[in-house]
Amino acid sequence: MLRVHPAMRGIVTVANHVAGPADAASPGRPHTVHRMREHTVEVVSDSGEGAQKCSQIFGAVSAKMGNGVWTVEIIPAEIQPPARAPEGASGNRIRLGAGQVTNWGDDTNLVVAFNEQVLLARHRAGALARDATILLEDKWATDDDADIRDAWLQAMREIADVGYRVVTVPMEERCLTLVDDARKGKNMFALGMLAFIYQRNLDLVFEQIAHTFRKKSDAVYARNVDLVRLGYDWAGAHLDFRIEITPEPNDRPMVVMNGNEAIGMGAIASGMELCAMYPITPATSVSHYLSEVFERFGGVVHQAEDEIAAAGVAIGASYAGKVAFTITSGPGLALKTEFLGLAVMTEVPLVVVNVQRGGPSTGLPTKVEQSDLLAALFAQPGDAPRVVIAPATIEECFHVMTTARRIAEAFRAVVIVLSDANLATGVQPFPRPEVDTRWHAEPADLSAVLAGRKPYGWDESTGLSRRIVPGQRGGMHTVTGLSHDEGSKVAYSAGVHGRGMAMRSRKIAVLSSLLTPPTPYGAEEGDLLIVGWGSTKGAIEEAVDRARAAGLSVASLHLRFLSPMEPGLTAIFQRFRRVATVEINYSDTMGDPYVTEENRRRGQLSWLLRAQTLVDVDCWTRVPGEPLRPGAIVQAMHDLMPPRGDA
Amino acid sequence: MPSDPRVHLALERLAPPIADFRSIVVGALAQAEGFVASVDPDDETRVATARAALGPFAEGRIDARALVALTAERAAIPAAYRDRLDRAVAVLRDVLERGVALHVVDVPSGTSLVAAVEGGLARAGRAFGAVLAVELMKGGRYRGEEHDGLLDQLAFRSWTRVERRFAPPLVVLVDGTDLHIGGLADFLDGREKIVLVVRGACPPAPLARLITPRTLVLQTVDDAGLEQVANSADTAVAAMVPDGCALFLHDPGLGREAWQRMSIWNMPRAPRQSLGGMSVWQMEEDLRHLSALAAGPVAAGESTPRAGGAPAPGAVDALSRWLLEQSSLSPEEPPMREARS
Amino acid sequence: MSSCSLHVLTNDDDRTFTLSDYEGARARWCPGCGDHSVLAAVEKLLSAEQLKPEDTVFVSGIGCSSRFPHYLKTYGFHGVHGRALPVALGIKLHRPELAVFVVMGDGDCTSIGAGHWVHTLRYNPDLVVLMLDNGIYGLTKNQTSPTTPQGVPSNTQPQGTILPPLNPISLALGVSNASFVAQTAEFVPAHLYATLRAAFHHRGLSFVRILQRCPVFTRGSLPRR
Repeated sequence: MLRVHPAMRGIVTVANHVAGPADAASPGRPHTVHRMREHTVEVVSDSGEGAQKCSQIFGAVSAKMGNGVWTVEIIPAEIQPPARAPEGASGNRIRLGAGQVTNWGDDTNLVVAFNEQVLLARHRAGALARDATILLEDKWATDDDADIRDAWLQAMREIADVGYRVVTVPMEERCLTLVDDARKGKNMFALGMLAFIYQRNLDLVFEQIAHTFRKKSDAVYARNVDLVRLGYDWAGAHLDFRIEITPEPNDRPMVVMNGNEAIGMGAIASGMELCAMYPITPATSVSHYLSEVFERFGGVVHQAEDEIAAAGVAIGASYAGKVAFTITSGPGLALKTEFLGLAVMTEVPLVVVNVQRGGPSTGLPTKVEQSDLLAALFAQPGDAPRVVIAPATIEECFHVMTTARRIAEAFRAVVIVLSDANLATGVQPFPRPEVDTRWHAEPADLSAVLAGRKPYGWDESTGLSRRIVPGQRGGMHTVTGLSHDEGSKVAYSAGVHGRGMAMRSRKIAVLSSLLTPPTPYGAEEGDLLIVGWGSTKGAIEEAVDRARAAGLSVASLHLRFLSPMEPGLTAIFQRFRRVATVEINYSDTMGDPYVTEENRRRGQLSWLLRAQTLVDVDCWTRVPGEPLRPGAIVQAMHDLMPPRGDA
Repeated sequence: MPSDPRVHLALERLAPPIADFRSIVVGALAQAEGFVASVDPDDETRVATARAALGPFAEGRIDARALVALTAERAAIPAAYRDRLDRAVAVLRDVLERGVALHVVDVPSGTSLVAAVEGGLARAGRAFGAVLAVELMKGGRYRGEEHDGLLDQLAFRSWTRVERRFAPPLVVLVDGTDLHIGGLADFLDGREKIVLVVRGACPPAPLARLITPRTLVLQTVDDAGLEQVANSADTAVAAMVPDGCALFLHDPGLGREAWQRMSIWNMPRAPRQSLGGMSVWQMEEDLRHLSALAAGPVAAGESTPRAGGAPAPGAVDALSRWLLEQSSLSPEEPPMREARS
Repeated sequence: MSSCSLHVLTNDDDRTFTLSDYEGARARWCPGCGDHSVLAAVEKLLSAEQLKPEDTVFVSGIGCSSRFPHYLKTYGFHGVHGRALPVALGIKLHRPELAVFVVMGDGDCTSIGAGHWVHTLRYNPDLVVLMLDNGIYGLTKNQTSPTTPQGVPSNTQPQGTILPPLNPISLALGVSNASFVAQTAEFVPAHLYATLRAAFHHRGLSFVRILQRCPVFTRGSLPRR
């Protein structure tokens, strides 16, 4: 039954319902079908009520039906936050599109909220469109507890003036007709409502439920199917709208996964065999994924006693054979610093994945930030050049592992892969990779070492050398973190020390010489060039499209290689009147107290670009603890646009 | 392949050591092909391989051709030996393609068992020769006149200790009248596994003479015990014999004394007439040998004398007391002294 | 392991190794340093066991004792202070066929690397771990280590080392899954060698504390017997 609480008069626009047979085949209510290019939906609940399961299934089904999808987790920072508290809001936001969706978008158009407090959290976060439709559990309005009723009233007042369209739903009441504990059923009921609204194929929904609950009993499956039907039928009988997003035709087979799974799979595809790690949010799920499947491919996941040991184990393994990798997040990268210096000094190839989160210190463990760029390049006493690569999409998270491993091997280098929480937890379909056996690392060459070959037989012009691994007859030597000559003999003389430095640095220049200059997106020249890196690519490019449609002369450039920096940037920058980076990290804003052009602390990429190109690269950065929205970037483009006539 | 079902049964049981041998060849082939690619004068192939190896992320971003130019070390292999390298790779491929057939030898009636086994091993041994040849080429140490023979058959007597550890198992189908077994002892080294499948009349204990302390020897009518043959860490030889023969197992793992290692399930009478050139006396002698080995415990000898260099017990006690004291673990001293006040 | 098949097959030879096959650079420890006798015992062990130099890896941290790998002609990994064990574990995980030895000092093992020490004992990989315990930081010139006897003056605690020493043996024995814990001393060569030999033949982590004197900084603090 649809009930309208007195406090909501004036904001509820749903017509009084017409009772009808609760039958999906003949929905009891006439409904308008809205055809859309895209739509964004959120399911939010208290932690533990299963909103995430519901939305993951919904996202997967939508992807299977051919829609573009971008899923973002809404995660409380605590495992067991209090019930009915805004800070406990847990769920997912799913942006559906007719074509490919490259970012999480701007505002949410439809929300399913299990209580008014989690709804408030999303309202206060500014996540909801002003005309959003809200499907809200109604039981709290008439709760026995006067405090809860009061909280409900206050919440309704807070959102009263926005213009949301609130539909109250008797989720609890309906679920109790099937299950004893509605907390364990509402998410499937909600899934049923979404399936009705977005016209999802119920067979696919049930298939996905079977997959999600494959470790549970048949009874659980059957109960969930019944709950989905209950929600579907309720929506059919009581809602007056449906939404249709017709997928663009696409005959390429697709896969759906999040960035961490992509990194795990990519590591397997690259032939790496050992991952050493210590649990840290938001990187850990890579190892969860790997632990499940890695051993089938002859791999090992070693959970070390700490972040430092994880780096050490990976270095030991790499030293003795195929390149190994370690995964971590900011605080872990800080701890691994000493060992990374050793790997650089001994030229042991190594891949380090850093899934960035908000910092400094423990910072925002579950939230996105791009604040580790300078740390990745420079956090090391002494000069320790290394390669830094940032994948920009979930698909690139998969493929970057092969490239990173190859570079590590060919250059005997430490390669840091910078992902972030947005890629790690975002779920997106992409074309299924055609795995090529040539991606796989060759077995270590253990043939005897020819007389005269040295452990660091540097090519004078490139700094490159071939490593010698244990087991190679005649190659015995001791690698050392002390300054050493090409025979790995400890030597402190100025000449030897300087030569080693030059050889290790030269490799970065050599890699740079192999890189192709990037191409701007949108236009080759113009008023404003936005430069980005990492997970912001989708949002920035969508913003470019919108801004250009609105007449702005703007383009964007997205960098994958940060060390060495991609070549040809100075020439590209000169074709634009103004250049600015867009990043999710902190920078001083001009006009803030005491901040001057001279002392301004800038976005991390902008700092690097200024140093390397001598171009006055501005920056627009934010640290909202969430991905950037394309709408906000469009606004920034307007603000950054150089005044007409400004040379 | 012979149609005798026992041959297939034996192959099935020998699957693990056959797989070990094959995995060695598979690995060697991968490396040999890698080496071929590295000496391949065709730059386009190398560039294509390098491009693929960098993965799709590098497409349009990293110049694979330039990378090849910088990093490829063209292996120094004289053009004259190029065909030898191809032949070595072909040998490895051929050994793999033959599959389990490589591990079966059918000895024609009236011919030499030993020669057939030697031939079978040499055929498989070509893989070892090819591996060695590739290795020599990689190391620039290949000399035609000296090493060309490696790519033909490589006789067991030339196999190294390690090669013998990975020796290809053989299933040998042979007439009972051709079981002149003595020469087989030459091949029982490393981890060689031989299973004889005996056709027709058979002497009662043909394998008795192969029993030595570290060799697993089995006579059986079916596949009982073949798993032990397959999994033995040392040399093993078995015969699948017709009913009426001695059935026994000599398992080196079961003890230091011969009688501990022997299990005899069936001990037939000695035959009345000679068989295929083996005299009655010889066959009786085999059975006597078996019985002697299985005969109960002999009087135990003196206990082994103490090793010459070890310190006297008193000194050991004193030393261990002192060492314990150093870790504060000796009972005389409390484990922790109190901190200074 | 197919990844090293060429190696497995072609690395066979009838080489026999003598002591000199394991000798690396000339050892530069102080005259009278206990490290010399440990090195001698280790070389004797390597040659007695006929370990192939190319299939043997010595991993060390930082300190006097950690120069060890440089003085051998095997593969060696001279890493960072206190962190030899994770590196050794990584090597052993990836290449179980290699014989891997770890040489650490008391500061390395019981101070800066104590966490790795406890946990690697727990993991119990097949490593031989030698802790060369002279009860002092020698390379950095006489600072108190966790195993310095109480009361012994050092440059960091000139009034005498304040706390009683940490007991590496009882600590190691307290780690669940520790499988071989031994103690010997550099100046009882027969016992030292026998202990190393037993440690080498043990499958699992063998932890051997080797008591030794520092000729420069140990002022008669070890009893002479």
